[in-house]
Amino acid sequence: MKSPVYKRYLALIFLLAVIVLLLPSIIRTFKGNDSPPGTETYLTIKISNLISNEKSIPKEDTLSYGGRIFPYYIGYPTLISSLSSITKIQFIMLCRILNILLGMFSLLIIYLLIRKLTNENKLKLLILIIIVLSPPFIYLFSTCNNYSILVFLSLLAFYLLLNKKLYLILSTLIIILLGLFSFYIPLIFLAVIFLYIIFKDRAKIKWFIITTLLTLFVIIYYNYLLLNLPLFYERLAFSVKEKGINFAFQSIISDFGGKFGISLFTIVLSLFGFKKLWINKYKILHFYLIVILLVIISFYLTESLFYLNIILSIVAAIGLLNLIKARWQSNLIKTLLVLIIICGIIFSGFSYINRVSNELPNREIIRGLLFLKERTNTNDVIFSHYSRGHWINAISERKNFMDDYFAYVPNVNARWEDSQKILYSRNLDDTTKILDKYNIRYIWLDNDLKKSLWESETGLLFVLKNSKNFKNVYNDNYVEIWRYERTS
Amino acid sequence: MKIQISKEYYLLFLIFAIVLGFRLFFIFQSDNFSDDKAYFHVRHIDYIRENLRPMIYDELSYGGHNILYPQFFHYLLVPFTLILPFNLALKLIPAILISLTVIIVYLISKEITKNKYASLIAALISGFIPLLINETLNSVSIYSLIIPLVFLAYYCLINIDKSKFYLISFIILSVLLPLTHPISFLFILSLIFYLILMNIENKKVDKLRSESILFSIFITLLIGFIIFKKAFLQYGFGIIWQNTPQELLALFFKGTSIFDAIYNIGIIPLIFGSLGIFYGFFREKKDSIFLLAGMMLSILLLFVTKLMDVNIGFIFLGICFSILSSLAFSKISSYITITKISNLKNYLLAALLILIVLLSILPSLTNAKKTMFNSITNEEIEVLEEIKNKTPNDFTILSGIYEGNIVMAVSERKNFMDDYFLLAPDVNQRLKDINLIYTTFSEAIARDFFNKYNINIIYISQRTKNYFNIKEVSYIENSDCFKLIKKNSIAEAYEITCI
Repeated sequence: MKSPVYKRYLALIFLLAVIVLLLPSIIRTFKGNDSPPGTETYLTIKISNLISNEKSIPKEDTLSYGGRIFPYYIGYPTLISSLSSITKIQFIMLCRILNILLGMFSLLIIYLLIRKLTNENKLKLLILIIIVLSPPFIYLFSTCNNYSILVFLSLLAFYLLLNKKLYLILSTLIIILLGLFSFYIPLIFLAVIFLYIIFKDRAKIKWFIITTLLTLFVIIYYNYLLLNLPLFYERLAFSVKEKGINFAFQSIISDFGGKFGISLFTIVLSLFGFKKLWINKYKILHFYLIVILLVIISFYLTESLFYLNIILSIVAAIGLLNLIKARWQSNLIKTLLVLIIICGIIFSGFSYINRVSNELPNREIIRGLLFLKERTNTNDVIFSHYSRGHWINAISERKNFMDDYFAYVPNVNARWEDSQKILYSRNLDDTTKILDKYNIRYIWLDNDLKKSLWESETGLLFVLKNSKNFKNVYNDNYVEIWRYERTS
Repeated sequence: MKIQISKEYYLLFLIFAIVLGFRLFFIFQSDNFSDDKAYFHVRHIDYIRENLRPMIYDELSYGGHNILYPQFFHYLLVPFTLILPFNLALKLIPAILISLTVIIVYLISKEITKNKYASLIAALISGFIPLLINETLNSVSIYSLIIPLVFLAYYCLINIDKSKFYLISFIILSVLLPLTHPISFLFILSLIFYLILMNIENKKVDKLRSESILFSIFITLLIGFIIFKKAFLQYGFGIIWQNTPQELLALFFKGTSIFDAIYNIGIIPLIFGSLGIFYGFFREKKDSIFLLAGMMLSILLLFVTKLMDVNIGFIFLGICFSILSSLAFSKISSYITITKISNLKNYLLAALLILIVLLSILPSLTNAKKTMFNSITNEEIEVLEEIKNKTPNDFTILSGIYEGNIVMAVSERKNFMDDYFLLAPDVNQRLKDINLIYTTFSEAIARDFFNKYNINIIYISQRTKNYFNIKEVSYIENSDCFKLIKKNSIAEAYEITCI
């Protein structure tokens, strides 16, 4: 039964969600930096621009790697560019609005789904609070990325799947549509649905087979017939992951630096939740299998954390409620413990918001990129670390040497090796040979990059300082742009 | 009403007085502290005294970097430095704190054995663990506080079901531990091991105790994450190595053998502690024994995975063995009472005390002398003070890595490197370069580095020479680039003029 108090709390949680999702942008704006954080937004904007300019699926991305075949998923960028042409709102603003809307709708669907699971109002509210404050949720719907719509659509598809038969066709259509947004996510989602159907709803097995075949067809058609992508791409011979004892493990926990990892407190609480659920033993075997599957996949594809986070948040809420309800010998400890856990969840969420709001690019980088846009020729290639590639493409609208979309780049390993030579060689001849080979005109450096790449003034820093072939054309004590003058 | 204090408390006080007296006897032989690390705390305490807030950005260390360090220890000492002379307070209070460990050891031992004499002997042994003397004598050592706190927390946990006082004390200690030192993570690891051991032995953990443990785990995690948030984000799981350079990490366990363990812990606690753990674990199966076993297992786990400084691990092991040895003393004593040699009990006790003197107190004495011999000398202070008086404020001083803190504390100038590595820049590279600068024969190479890091002063002490295994820095003597600032029999400092 829905009490007015419950409804009020529910409304408050949705309001909290809006605030949480807006906070990173608000904090950045207060710091005088209204650019979106991270790199995904800029990739999306670049693709949206390409689609908007070509009015169809582009055959080539002229900016990435100095020019390459178009290998991207068009779903989200197409939505952005179409909506932008209708509403005349800028891509970035549109992205922000759309993402918050997607976040709210996703939360609504999660609410509708958990309503099917439990009648307990407290549990429902706890689940929603834990989800709203979870780093993956904040990341998904506060930065402009392809996955926000993917998660929304998959939640919607799953919700429709649980409803009347009539909605099954709609669910199929949505799952098929996922193939235009990603390669792996629809497959992970289908694997989750498979486990659910095989254990809980075998009557839908035919539906599942048809949907899977159609989705596979869409994925294959889009990737290999429409985009004409080669069947395989060059396997990376270099590691692009961050340093750490075990990055695969580290990346699934946000408090240990995972980009959109799950909060440690949610994980710990979910252990209590699983303990409670284990009372039912194997009655919800499918649920355990889904969790195990997602945990294993998340070691290799961190994107599956978006799904895992929702599931673990539900289990964590069960754990927390169980802790609250359990008979405690000491009420003092119970009160303190619940307080600590709530603080932990809030701390995790807000520390993540703080992290997102402090992410690059900052004001100085944007100014530097705009300098490149204004003062360089459209065909100039800008050399920098691959982590700066999408910014150079999207803001400066210039060709980058490398970015982090490595798939389907011809000779990507050779290019990586050349970039390493440029970065770490002190030999001017070696460096200029490679710069000439790729027709590089400018070199971009910023303080964060310097700090992460070099421990002292060596390699490229040494070459830049000691050679007359390089002219420092921009320096604001944070960003340095050097022009390379050919000798001949 | 006349309050009667039983004989055991007089004896306990006597042991406390002996341990404290032993420490004070040595402490007051030097005006300075024994190790460089003490000066890290001295600077932090001094900073809090002046600004009331903790130092979170150290402008001098590595030329400036963020400091993440729990500050409870510093705040605790500040009031004493206002009442007593600064150096006296920093020598006296840590000595009193660490000496209190004997009382806590006594209380835990008595809880386990119910035998006051066995517990008193355990307390005496715990006061003279050679390595504990090494690490904490004449130093503002964080271990002076964290060790008694950890064992007090165990004591409260053992008695938690007896009265609310212990529960509240445990809650307070659970909050204080993570605010004092990251070793609190070892404490919660030991509690987890305790729960596992109890489970393995099919023993039911008291509900209040398990609730308290749960609380302790969560509060430690929360406070730890708040304090070390930046480091967690930067290093992830790698935070457990605290950004320590690879070269130094490799030295953590180099040359550690069973003989080191025997010498550092003391043979008496090792033998009787092992007997105690055998008896307690396999025969009596007491909760409190499982608790200590949990601590020992967690230390062993951290040893195996090379995640803990071996010296610190040995100190905790030594205290655990001391407590457990009380069980062996108690059982042996009960056994002797029912044998024909029961009339020799007092002689055997005297023999045991002599053994303790020979095998625990004498090695501690030797260690204490060695520690005091290696204390920071007035000559070193004199040279560093001369730097403070004669050079500009923005100068950077190159010193040995284990002299970085004293350089900052006395000369009030930036150092090139010290042993606080967390969030410090380029530690591996700097360590390599520092080795090269002190050991190279080439002035050109050294000058390259002076330019690279903008180093203005090179400080060389006997300590530096011993560390780098050199007789002198070879390129200084015949060069015009080094202007002598001050030289005495122990230390010297030169301004680098050719940069």
